[in-house]
Amino acid sequence: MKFSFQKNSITKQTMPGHGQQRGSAQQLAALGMLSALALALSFLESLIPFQPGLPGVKLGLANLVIVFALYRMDPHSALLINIVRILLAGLLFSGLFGILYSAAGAAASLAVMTFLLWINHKREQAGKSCLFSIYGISMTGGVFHNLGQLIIAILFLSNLNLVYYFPVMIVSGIITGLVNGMIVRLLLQRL
Amino acid sequence: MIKEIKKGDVLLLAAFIAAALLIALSPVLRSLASSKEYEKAPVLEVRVAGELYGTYDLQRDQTITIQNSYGSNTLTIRDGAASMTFSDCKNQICVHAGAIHSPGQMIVCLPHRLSAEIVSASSESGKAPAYDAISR
Repeated sequence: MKFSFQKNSITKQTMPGHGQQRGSAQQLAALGMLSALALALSFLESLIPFQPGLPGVKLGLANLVIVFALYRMDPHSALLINIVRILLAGLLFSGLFGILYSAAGAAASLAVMTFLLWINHKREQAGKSCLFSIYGISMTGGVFHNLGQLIIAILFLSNLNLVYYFPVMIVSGIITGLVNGMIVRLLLQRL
Repeated sequence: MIKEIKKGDVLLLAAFIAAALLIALSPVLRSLASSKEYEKAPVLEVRVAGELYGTYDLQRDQTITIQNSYGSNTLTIRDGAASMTFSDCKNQICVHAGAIHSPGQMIVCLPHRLSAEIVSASSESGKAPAYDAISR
């Protein structure tokens, strides 16, 4: 699935690396910067004592960068940033177990967001309007991030009763995803 | 911002909320279907990697130490509520989870593959009911 979203209505072509050939120095620099930003946000999040009494509920700040990369660059770049972030953040902050856990969430989230953008892209090509806005895409990403993690937890604990935790994870994914979508929307406007 | 919201967004949101409600209500629906439940004192079931580690009476104050290759955890039962008072895991989510007291609630320590759930003794198979099956 090789495509980029250059024709997207809210992207302005000012990002270094955007519209460049893959592998160019500008693209590489942009990837490195976004990876560093994602890692920094992961660290920031591990510092904030945001514990609403529900284990596993997080802000998902690093997802900001991923949604941004999906819109401004392409799914490949977002995947690369994700891999770098998860490996580094995992080794630095949470250990090998954390890598498995966040990789499952990130993979599910990225896959579903790419799929929704692909639907948008196909509709645009067919001359129709987009079906999903950045809010819906970010929200879905947040929800699937949580679902991916919870599925790993269920497999790991071999305890099916954890499915009753799905509602909590879905609702928290909706909220954090929507907030992230709004932030990225503002970023895309200004950068 | 409101103007930018597309039809697909609303559909997705509705689907997520519907799924969340469905799962949240499923235990209620199930208990309605099998209304005759024995009222028994709930117990605390501790599982490690899915295997039953032990069942503990919530009415008796006690301290349970679980030590295995994954690490060490301490569960404390006081006044009918259970809480994880110590864990040498990295994220300490289980310790922050607080106390649980009613059936269905659970504390999970993911790094140690440990879960502690309160179950009503009757609903678990083969404990309270003395018959094999009920036909209606």
